[in-house]
Order: sequence, then C-alpha cells, then structure tokens
Amino acid sequence: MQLLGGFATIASIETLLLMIVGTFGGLIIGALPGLSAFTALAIMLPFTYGMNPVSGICFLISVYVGGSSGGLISAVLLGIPGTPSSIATCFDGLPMAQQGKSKTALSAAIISSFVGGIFGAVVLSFVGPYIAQVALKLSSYDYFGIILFALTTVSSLAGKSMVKGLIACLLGICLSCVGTDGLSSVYRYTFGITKLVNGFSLVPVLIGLFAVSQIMASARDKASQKSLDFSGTNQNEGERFTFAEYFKRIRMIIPVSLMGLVIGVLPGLGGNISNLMAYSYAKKTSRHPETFGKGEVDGIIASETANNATVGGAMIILLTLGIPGDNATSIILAGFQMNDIAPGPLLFKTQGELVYAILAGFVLANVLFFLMEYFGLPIFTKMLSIPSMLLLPIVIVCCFVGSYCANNNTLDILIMVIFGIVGYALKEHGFPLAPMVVGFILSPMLELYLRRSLMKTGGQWLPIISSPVAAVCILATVITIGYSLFKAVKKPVA
Amino acid sequence: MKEKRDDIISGAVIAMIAVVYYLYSFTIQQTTSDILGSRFFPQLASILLFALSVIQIVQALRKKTPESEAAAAVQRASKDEKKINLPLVLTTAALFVYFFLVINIGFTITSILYLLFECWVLMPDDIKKNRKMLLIVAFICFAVPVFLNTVFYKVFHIQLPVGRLFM
Repeated sequence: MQLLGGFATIASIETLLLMIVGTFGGLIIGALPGLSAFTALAIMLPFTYGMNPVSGICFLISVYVGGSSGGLISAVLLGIPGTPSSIATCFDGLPMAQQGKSKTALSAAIISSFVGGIFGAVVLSFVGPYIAQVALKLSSYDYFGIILFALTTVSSLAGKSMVKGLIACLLGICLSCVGTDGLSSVYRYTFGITKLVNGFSLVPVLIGLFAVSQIMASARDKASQKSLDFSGTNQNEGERFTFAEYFKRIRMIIPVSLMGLVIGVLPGLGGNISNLMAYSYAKKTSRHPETFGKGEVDGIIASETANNATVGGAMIILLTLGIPGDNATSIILAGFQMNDIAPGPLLFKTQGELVYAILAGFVLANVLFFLMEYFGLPIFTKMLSIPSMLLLPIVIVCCFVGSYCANNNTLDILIMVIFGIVGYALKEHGFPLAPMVVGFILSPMLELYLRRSLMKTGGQWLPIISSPVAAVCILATVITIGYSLFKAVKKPVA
Repeated sequence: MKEKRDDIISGAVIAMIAVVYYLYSFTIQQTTSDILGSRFFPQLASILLFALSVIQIVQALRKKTPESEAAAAVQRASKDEKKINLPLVLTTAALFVYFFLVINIGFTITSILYLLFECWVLMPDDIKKNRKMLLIVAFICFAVPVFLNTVFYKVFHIQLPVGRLFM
C-alpha cells in the first residue's frame, strides 16, 4: 500500500521525464565498453543540483538501473562486457550471436535483467530492513568464508583444463597484489611508478583482456575472416525469448536471484561477482553443462538475473543502513547527501514517503529500461550488420575512452593495451580469461578479510572455522573443490 | 604435437614468472601489524603458480602423439614460424603507437589516425579498390572521434586528452 503511495509521489511529468532521460543515458553509457553504471552516475550527478529530492534521487536510480543493464548489449553482440557485471553474459551471448540467434540472446538477457531487477525491488520494499540487519551482523570471518566460496566459481569457468583455469586465476591474484597493501599501506610490485600505487583498475584490465585481445584475434584471422564474422548468419532467424520460456526455468531462477540479492547486500561485493557465481551455479546444476560457453541461453539468464538482483541488494544496504554496497551506490549516497537526506535505519520511520517514492522509482526505472531495450532490440541487432573491419576499431576507440575516463589517467590506456596482449597470448595457449578476472576481483578482499580475521583471533584459526557462516562456506568450498577434482580424475583421458 | 609444445613453453614461461614474482616479493617491506604480513599472499600465490606450471609441463610431457602425426606437425610448425602475421603485428603496433600519440597530440587526431590505419589493416582487399566505400570509411573514421569528443566535452563535461602539443 505504501509502495502505491510512492508511485503517486513520483507521478509528475518532471520526474517521469527525468527518469526516462536517466534510464536512456545510463543505458547508452553502460553499453559502451569500459563505461559502467558508476561512470554514468559520476557523469550525471552534477545534473541533480537544483532538482527536488524525489526527482533527483529517482533520476540517479534510473541512471544506475540503465547503466547496470546496458552492459548486456555489447556483451551479447560483441563478446565485450559493457560493465564488469556482464562478464558471464559474454560466455554464451557471443556464441549465440555468431549462430544467428542474437535476437533470442538479447531478449533473454533483457527479460532476465528485468525480472532480476523487479525481484530486488520487491524484496527491498518488503523485507529490506530485516535483511540489512542480518548483513550487518556478519563478521570478517564470515566475509572471508563467503569470498573463499566465491573463488570456487573458477572450477566451472576453467574450461577444458582445470590446471590452466587455476593458473589463470593465480595470475589474476598476482596482478591484484600490485599497488598499496590494503592493511599495512606498504607498496607491492609498484617498481617505483607512482601511478601504480593504487594498483591496476578493473576497467582497463577487463576491456584489455576481452576487447583488445579480440581485435588482435580479428587481425590474425583477417584472411579467413573467422573472428567476429557474422556474415552468413541471418540475425532475424532467432526468435524473441518470451516470459513463458523464462519462467520455465524457475528452479534455476530463484537461487540465482537470491544469490544476486545476497551478494548485493554484502558491502564490497557486487554485480562483478554475482554474475560469475550465478553462471557457475547454473552450469553446475544443469543437465547439460557441456553446452555452456557454446551458446546456452541458461548461462545468459543466470548472469543477467543475478547481476540485476544485486542492484536491489545494494539499494537495501544503502537505504536501510546508509552503507554503499559498491562504487555506484556511493555516488547515489552523495546524491542523498546533496539533498540533506541521511539514509539509515531511521529513514523508513522519519521519511517514509520519500523512501517509498524511491522504491517506486526503482521499480519504474526497471520497467523503463525493459521497454527501451526490448523494443529497441531490432536497432541493437542492426549493429551486427556493420562490417567487423569498421565495427571493431570503433569499439576499440570507445574502449580507449572508457579506460581513460575510469581515472582520467592516460596510463590506463597503456595498461589496457598490455592486458590485451596478455589476454591474447593466454587465449592462444588455451588459458581461460574468466578465472583470471575472478582472481583479480576477489583476492584483494580475500586477503584483507583473512588478515583482519587473524588479527582479531591473534593468529588462531579455530575461531574462524567455528563461526557458523564461515564454517558452512569453508565446508562448501572443500566439497566443491573435492567434487571438481574427483570429476577431473574420473574423466577418461582423450 | 603443437598443443604439447605450446603447453610446455607456456608452462615454462609461467614457472619463470612465478620465480621472479616470488624473488621480488622479498623487496616488499615486511610488516608486523598482522600475523601474515604483506609478503604472505604474493608468496603463496607465486608458490602455487609455480607448482601448477610444473604440473602443466608434466601433463604435456605425458601426452602421447603418433609418430607420423608428430612429424607432420613439426613440419607445419616450422612453416608457421617462418610466416609473420602482418595484420596482427601492425594491429599490436598501432595500439602502442596510439598510447604514445594520444599523450602528445590528443584524443581526436590520434583516434582519427588510428581508425584510418586499423580499418585499412582489417579491410578485405576487394574493398580497398572500391573508391566509394573508402570514402565512406574515411568519413566514419573522421566523424566518430569528433562526435565522441564533442559529446564528452559538451554534454558530460569530461575533457578527453588534448595532448601536450595543444596544452
């Protein structure tokens, strides 16, 4: 009922127009490789000066939702994740586009994003404050356990060779150690280069690995035109994916939605991780895991449902506790502060009308992005009719812009190029890139929480494994690794 | 055979990286604020990396290849080695040149030059003879960076690199 009141509050022409502009702007920026929802929000934040609080916050939320879901377009059509949240969408998105099923892949991704987003919004409206209280009680032991378990996604992203998957993951871990140690502020592997003090940014690393390596592969295959060649595929052949087909997979959708939501609630974790974990879960529980990575629509559904449910989770922790769950929500928090609103436990009591207006805005933003993407689908698929000799260089120029804009640092362009060469060399030798990204994202947090936990316990491991959440996660990690090894040993040698 | 050779070489390179990474970790200042210290994680990662690279090499050495296939593969490999993939070399070089040019002459001019060059490298030979198509490609190569720079500067208020020459 209160949510309906929220819809009444935002039902003004000004707010609705701002939300349409915000969603569209976020979508376009999110679709450009390297530019994420965070960049979109940073760009759009100054525009909210002078807006009334409801309009301003709803505008920012629209940008956030649009930016988070825009990444799926380039992930599906080009195999380049528009945002880190859509890394796993690439794995099956591009193969489907290459098979002429870009329409099916895109519509499945759009429906999944929409349902994931609405799921997050509904949970946020009804049980958000309770979930946030539970999340706040988790200790560093629990976070260590959760992140350790998240690392097991590597086992399902490893591809043909588990050894190569683990090597790629460890290379990612090694690279993440570059920069300032989070706990002691000591420099590691910076080689005296001041600009490396903050380590490698995720954006140039990601687009280097996925986008630059692709243009290099395209150049290599120029004669045979193998890479990213859509000629000969009729992109109209694929049918649009429907809601009915989506809900047939309800047994997979519920767990991945919950996974996305819970990861969103946990501060520091976000869509970067939830999409990979959900993909891994979908592959492990699938009856035909061998089809994953070759154009399996379930892979897209899992990734996109989870990463958009994460947005709802991040909003829960922001609204109810005032803690930004990820970079993007920290900009929304700045938007709150600009309007003298202090998010936290009292917000629901003292400014209930505003809170429910924001929640209604969140639901509406999801509807808006769905309408824009679903009906804009024929325009997006037209992108594939652009010859790859023109499309790829243009995408690379957009990547240069994305890398630079992440920190306004030209060195990031060089880092992107170097990681492109690294990614190309690894792919050429059969090393999967996704485990490397997983290692790169997760290991700084894993190290931080492990060392913090051991500081708390005075070097004792027993209190860590005695914590219920940490114990369950560590046990689940051991079982998952054990099962993967068992399967690898049992598999007949070709 | 090629896969076996690749696995041995890549395993050896990774083992070397792991050794260098481990040795370099001793230059990290050791801290006493926590039990594990700032060297622990990099050292653990490098030890595991070394162990896995050894496993990869051993696995590759154990792979059996039929003799006839091996001989053919050696011949193919030696032919491949002689051939240089020019588009790949030019594309890689262009990426590095982009970085050095963007610092000096800025985003717009560098991007126009890069797009013209890269499109030429990737362009099929039959299109290179089509003057009308070349004009269209040239126009797009010019328009895209100008459009991006204008949007970022005018709409988003973000200054893309202008270059030392124009500062």
